Amino acid sequence: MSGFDTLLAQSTAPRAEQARALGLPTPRVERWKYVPTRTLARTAWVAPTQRDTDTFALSGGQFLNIPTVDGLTEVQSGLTESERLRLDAMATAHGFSLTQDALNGHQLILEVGASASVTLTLEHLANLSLEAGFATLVIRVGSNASLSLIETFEAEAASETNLDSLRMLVSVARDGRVNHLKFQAANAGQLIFHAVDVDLSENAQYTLDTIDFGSKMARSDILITLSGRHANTDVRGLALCNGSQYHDTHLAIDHAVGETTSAMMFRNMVDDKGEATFNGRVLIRKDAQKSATEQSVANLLLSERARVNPKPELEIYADDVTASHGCTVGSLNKAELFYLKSRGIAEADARAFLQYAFAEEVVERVAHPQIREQIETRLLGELTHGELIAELKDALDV
Amino acid sequence: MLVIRNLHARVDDKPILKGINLEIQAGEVHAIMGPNGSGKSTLSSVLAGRDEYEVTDGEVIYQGQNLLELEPEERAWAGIFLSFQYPVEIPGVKNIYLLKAAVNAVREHRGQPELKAGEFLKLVREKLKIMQMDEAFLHRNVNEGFSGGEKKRNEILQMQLLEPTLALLDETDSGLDVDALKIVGEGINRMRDPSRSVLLVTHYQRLLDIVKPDYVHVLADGEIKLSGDFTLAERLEREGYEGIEAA
Amino acid sequence: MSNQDIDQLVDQDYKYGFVTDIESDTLPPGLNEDVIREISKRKGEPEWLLEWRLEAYHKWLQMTPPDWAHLEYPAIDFQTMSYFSAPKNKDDAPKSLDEVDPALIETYNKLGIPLEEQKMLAGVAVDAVFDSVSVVTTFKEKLHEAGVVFCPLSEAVHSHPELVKEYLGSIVPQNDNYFAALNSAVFSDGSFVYIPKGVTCPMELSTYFRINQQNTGQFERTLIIAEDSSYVSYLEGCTAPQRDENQLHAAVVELVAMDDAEIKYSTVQNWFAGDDEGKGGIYNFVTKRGECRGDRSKISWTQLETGSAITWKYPSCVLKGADSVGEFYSVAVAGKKQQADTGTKMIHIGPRTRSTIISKGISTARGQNAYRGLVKVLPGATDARNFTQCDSLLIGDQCGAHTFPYVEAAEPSANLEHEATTSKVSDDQLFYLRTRGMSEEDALNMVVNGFCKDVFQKLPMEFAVEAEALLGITLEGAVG
Repeated sequence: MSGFDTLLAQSTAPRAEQARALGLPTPRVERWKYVPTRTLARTAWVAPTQRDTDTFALSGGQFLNIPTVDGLTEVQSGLTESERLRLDAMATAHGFSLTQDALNGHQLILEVGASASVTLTLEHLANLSLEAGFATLVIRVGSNASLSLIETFEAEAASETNLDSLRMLVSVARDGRVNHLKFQAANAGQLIFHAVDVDLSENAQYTLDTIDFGSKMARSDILITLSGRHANTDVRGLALCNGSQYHDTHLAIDHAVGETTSAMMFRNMVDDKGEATFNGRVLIRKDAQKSATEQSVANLLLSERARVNPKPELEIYADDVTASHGCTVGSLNKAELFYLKSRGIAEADARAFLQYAFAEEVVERVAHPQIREQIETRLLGELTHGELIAELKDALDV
Repeated sequence: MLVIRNLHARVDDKPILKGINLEIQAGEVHAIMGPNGSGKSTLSSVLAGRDEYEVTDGEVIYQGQNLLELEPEERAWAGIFLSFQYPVEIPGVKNIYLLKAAVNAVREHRGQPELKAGEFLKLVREKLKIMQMDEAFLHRNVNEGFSGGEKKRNEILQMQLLEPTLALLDETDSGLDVDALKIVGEGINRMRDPSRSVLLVTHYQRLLDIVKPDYVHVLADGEIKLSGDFTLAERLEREGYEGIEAA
Repeated sequence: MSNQDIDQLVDQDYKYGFVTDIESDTLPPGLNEDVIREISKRKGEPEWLLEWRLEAYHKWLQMTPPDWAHLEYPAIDFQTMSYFSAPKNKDDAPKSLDEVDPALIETYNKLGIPLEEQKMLAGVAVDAVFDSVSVVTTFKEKLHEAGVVFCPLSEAVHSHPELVKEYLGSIVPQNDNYFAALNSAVFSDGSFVYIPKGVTCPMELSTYFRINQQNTGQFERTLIIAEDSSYVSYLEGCTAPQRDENQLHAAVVELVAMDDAEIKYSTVQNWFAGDDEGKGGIYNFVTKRGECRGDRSKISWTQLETGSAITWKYPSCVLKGADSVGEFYSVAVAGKKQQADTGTKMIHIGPRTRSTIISKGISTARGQNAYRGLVKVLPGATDARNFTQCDSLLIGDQCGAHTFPYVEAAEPSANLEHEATTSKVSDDQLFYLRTRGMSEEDALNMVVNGFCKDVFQKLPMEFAVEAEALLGITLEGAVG
């Protein structure tokens, strides 16, 4: 039983019946161990509708205003065999992914031509109350091409329960690069499910900056496969959980061949009754010699009822590799607090300073200046005593 | 300015200070010398209000008020400055944010008007020049990736900006090469003023050759064993701590 | 290491691989209620214990084997195993070593642990479990003087029924997991230790386990109770004969430490790992858990795991008492086709509880080594601290090293730190040592021993020596 039964019963999709039979994953399913499924299970979800806008947007499971820019084309000929296989794997990952597959609305395939340079900004529009929208975006990035992909979320919409699901399949050809930035500041009623599957050819690069501030609940399943030599990826994430928010990121990096590198840095800042889960799994396959990976996960617990569940995993089958991970859980550092206070900064301000600093290690790398500004403004707004830092920034940043 | 009477303090049930008595008048420079583990750094940390240290007996009166009752930031507002032996790195916070926030917090409590960005930058640049520091330091994160010498210069830069009434300098000379020692020492000398007192904690005489103290105290096993003028530091250098303690 | 030692290493295929020829009193294979009644009857157990076993058996029937570990093995057929085996001469148990079956003494001699010598040299009391029933218990008088009870659990059922009744299954409940449930139903024997209030156990306690009967699952059950302000160090060492069929081993160890008590539990596990193809090795599914029930109590697990084809083992600490301390120091080696999935759980419940986890995993040949650990901090475990360090060393390109550290934190004042690295043995280090005249193998041994030092120095002296020697045997042939 899940809140999608009605929608699934109406669907003619091949996996609809299977999805309905399987229902939602229980906490016994390792990858869904901490996910609160109550809202998902008990809401009587309805089919989505589309809203009006004039920019490239995802609304009610449909992509609107597909951009026409140099180097970017919409492909009509359907999925390649390998894309189909990857999408199948994504669909059968767990009970809910079957639902995502069966209820999928729009499947958009975009191609960035060889050596082209494209910036794509996708805005997620909030769905109406009880609406659940599902979509799939397939992106092919040609050799030596570069794509800057920016995802933003409509912030002003009403905070009624709704669901936004996006599956993304990204394939990057030789020497191509993708810089992916996601600033998730969705409204408080939204449930967000994102799955990203990235495949990197030789010398290709994928960077991801993922900032999760908003929503009632956000779950990301990210898989990055390094399939060509010298492919590399760098992922940084920041999740801020206030109120009773739940943020969950499952990030897997697969070093399928040798001489590939990966790095991930993730920060969770949890206050009130918030809960954050982070699972970072790095797989270095047999013969993927001379690969290197580095993982750092830090968790800041700011209240008595805050919860974190970090799990940085390493699974290594090749010997000539360097792999490390570090994980910390704690409250604000006492030595740092004392240092700031000894300089005359009041306790509340000093605490805000350190929270800001904690987040800033991720935020400072965001290359897009306007979005970074938005992120910082929102961040300072979320902190209990962010005003002093906001003033300093205004006065001192040029 | 500062009166310390029978001060006892401990860390994790281990007594470190066992009855310190010390009086510092306005304008004086006092040096506390002593072997490793004698309690020198504990003394400056207790005065600045670090909470790992538990005061078990005694009192500290600063400008007529009970210093031990104050929070670290209240001590800073009251004009106390601690130059850390190991300055703390704070990734993610720009040095300049800290400097401006600190300067204006202290000014506010002294009843001085807040410095606007332009005025503040002018002041900082002036002080940077004295400390022979590059402006790039302002935009780096607090002490992150600084060399030992850069950290100490940054501490003295902060002192110059905050203009304390009582400066506690904890092993400010450690980790400095000869040139940096000179810059830091002269930075301290510039701050000497009839209304400002300095408590220098050090293991060696070399900083004292530049910053000549009015009084020298030898701290050993949590107590001040001997006090004297500058010649005591010279004697220490010649005879070592053991020679002095035996005498 | 001298050349002589190396020669010895090279000569050894599996040093402890032999079968002692002693007639056994064995139940036919299969598991059902009647078998459990028969086990209980043969051991002369009271009715309540039989009921307890049956209760566990019915729970077990409802359970399924765990499938989350990083292990691959064929399904175990529990009906093909025998659940009871005892040396025939148990009725006229020996009063001294002279009365012991000479074949047994010879076994111990081959193992390099002659009881007589050990008695004199190390002052260690040995409660040797040969198959399922304890045969020899020494040093009883000295322990008796101190008020320490150290005897087979089957004996304690009669001599201290109130203690056994109170604590059996109180740390590891019958239905804790599949293998613990099975053990609860059919446990053969094991050690019982009781340290009274204020007593420091006058010697290290040790038990040598041997699995020596074809198709006999071993289901040891150990219970150690340390009353207020007491101290005990318990040593457990294992070797097993070579054979072709996989053998199941599903032990349960329960520890409980009251106020200010300390239990140090050390293990050297060297059961048969199977041949190079993984054939014939032991399946080792163990549940070990200690409860720091009292304030300021401390439980420390130290292990060297070099044997078994499959190791599934997570010695854990439940830190209930305020200021209690849990420790886990582990070296796990997986060579040949061995698979190890081992680690610990530290459950922080009381305020200011502290735990330390140091895990060193070594993988060679086609071995797969996984660290799996959980650090859980419950609300109210104020200022709880954990430090975890997991290092993995890979020797050769056919093996694997995996790290699965779970953290669940629900207390803001907690401070947890986890670090992990995976690397191969540095060529520079090996080269440096070889330029100083060492053979490649000696150099490797030295580097690996250095890698394990932090753990080995936590082992009691005589165990540390055995540990280093075992590591050498295990690494034999890993280079070149």
